[in-house]
Amino acid sequence: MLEIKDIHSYYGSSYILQGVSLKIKRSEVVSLVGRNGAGKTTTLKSIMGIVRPAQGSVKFKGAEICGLKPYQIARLGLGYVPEDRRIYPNLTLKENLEVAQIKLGSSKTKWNFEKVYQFFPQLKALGEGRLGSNMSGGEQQMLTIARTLMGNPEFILLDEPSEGLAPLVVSALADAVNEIKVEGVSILLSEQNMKFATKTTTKSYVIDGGKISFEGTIEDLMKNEELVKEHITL
Amino acid sequence: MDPGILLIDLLNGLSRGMLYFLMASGLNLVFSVLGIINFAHGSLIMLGAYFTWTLLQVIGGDWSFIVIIILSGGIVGVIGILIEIFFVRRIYESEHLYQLLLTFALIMIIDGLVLEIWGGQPRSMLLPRYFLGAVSIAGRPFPKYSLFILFGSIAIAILVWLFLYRTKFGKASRAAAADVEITSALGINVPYVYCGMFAIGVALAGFSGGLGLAMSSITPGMGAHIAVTCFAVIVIGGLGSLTGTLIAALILGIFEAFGDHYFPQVAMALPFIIMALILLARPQGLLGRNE
Ligand SMILES: Nc1ncnc2c1ncn2[C@@H]1O[C@H](COP(=O)(O)OP(=O)(O)OP(=O)(O)O)[C@@H](O)[C@H]1O
Ligand SMILES: [Mg+2]
Repeated sequence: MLEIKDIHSYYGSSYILQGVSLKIKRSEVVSLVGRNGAGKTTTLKSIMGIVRPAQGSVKFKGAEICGLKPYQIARLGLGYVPEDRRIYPNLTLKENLEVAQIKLGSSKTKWNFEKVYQFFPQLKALGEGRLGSNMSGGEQQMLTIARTLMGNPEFILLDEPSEGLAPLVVSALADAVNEIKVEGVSILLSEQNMKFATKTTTKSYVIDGGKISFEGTIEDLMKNEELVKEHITL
Repeated sequence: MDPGILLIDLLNGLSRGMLYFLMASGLNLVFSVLGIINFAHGSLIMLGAYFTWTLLQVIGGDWSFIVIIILSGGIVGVIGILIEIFFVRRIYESEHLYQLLLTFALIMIIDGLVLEIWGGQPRSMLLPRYFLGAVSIAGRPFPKYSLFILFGSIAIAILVWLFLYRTKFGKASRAAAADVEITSALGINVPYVYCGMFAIGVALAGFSGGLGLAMSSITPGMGAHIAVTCFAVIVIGGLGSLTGTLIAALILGIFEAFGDHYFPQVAMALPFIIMALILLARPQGLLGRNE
């Protein structure tokens, strides 16, 4: 469903992604793990068109999307959940969701307010008029995910959702991710928290210094103590 | 003091203040969404006044007046779309210096064209008959046209508010103002939002020019003077805050109205005195965010 072949990305003159290739099939949930600065976010941004790779190919549902604008990519069914919970602080909870709504014609439209609130009852409890700035970290993280779901994505790029959240909230988020998976949405999850990655994904890539250094099942990764020690903080 | 006179002064101040709000709101909207300070905003206000003047000559008639003002705003808005597509679009990513150079160049182009088309002599508008004269409020005369400006501006302010808070386009533009990258990744065509927002800001300028300058005579160089007042208003209110712009505009209008009446010798300097005092106490403006 999503196939990335040998992408190279730069920020100005710093060479960040040095040939990254990934392949995620429909309904698969795959994690991209690596420590701070390894290039996880840059990989997701390169897929989304926020960072334009200098070289390489990104194919989504068989079509080349490398070079398209982020809004065009989003409308093709690729959703992006940024790191650091970038909700709109100046918009209400409802407006945050509304802005992201992409209507696809009734048969294809899976997510609406009702369904999203059913998914995240905590959000509904806050009230639709609540300002984005007036929410806890966990609530904001749920809102970023709910917001992306409003665009009816078939595939979600999820960037470090567990970062800086309390264990209880992290575990609730893992449940939510697993439920999204059940809905048939594929996910590429960037993570440093191995517990979260193990709970939600089966296949994993390890990224280090802008290169993929491991590809395989999570079990195999966890067995490889050396790799885990070197690249991942538990 | 006579309460009737106080009331008239207050109404005068509110009428002026609402007009200042209308004139400055487009400037602030464009700044908060696009991050562009449009120095040509005052010239576009002036342009709206000239279009109104010409349309009044061509179409004339008493009852078409309101339609003509709206039409002038629309024409200036369309010019805004062209300015955005051909010029402004190219400098979003550039340094601020380029914004200054570009919008300053626009002032010279617009002022030059106005001089070429309408000539240098002052033009004054023929107000419709029903706007001439005064109504009696608390036994005192109050110009009918000032009352029209007051209610007209309030109506437009409500429309702007409804647009920003009740339409998807308005919400998307507030979202883009907060975070362009995310807004784009959520499927919103941000360049389209920018173009629309620039057009709306500029249309507000044109509209406020037609509405507000109908009472005075218009001259080709007046845009720069109006721009200074608009900048004073948005700086006092806080860059990016429309509520701040409203409060600042009303404060300025009311102080000016009372100033004209009681301290005519300092009335001209009043906006700057107020601006200096408020900025001394709050450098980011009344409702501006602390950077
Ligand atoms: N806007 C930028 N300009 C220049 N360099 C950047 C920029 N953003 C990230 N980098 C650099 O690119 C490298 C990869 O960053 P990236 O954000 O992709 O890492 P990450 O794996 O997501 O890390 P984290 O776990 O901290 O989020 C880092 O060395 C970082 O310093
Ligand atoms: Mg990151």
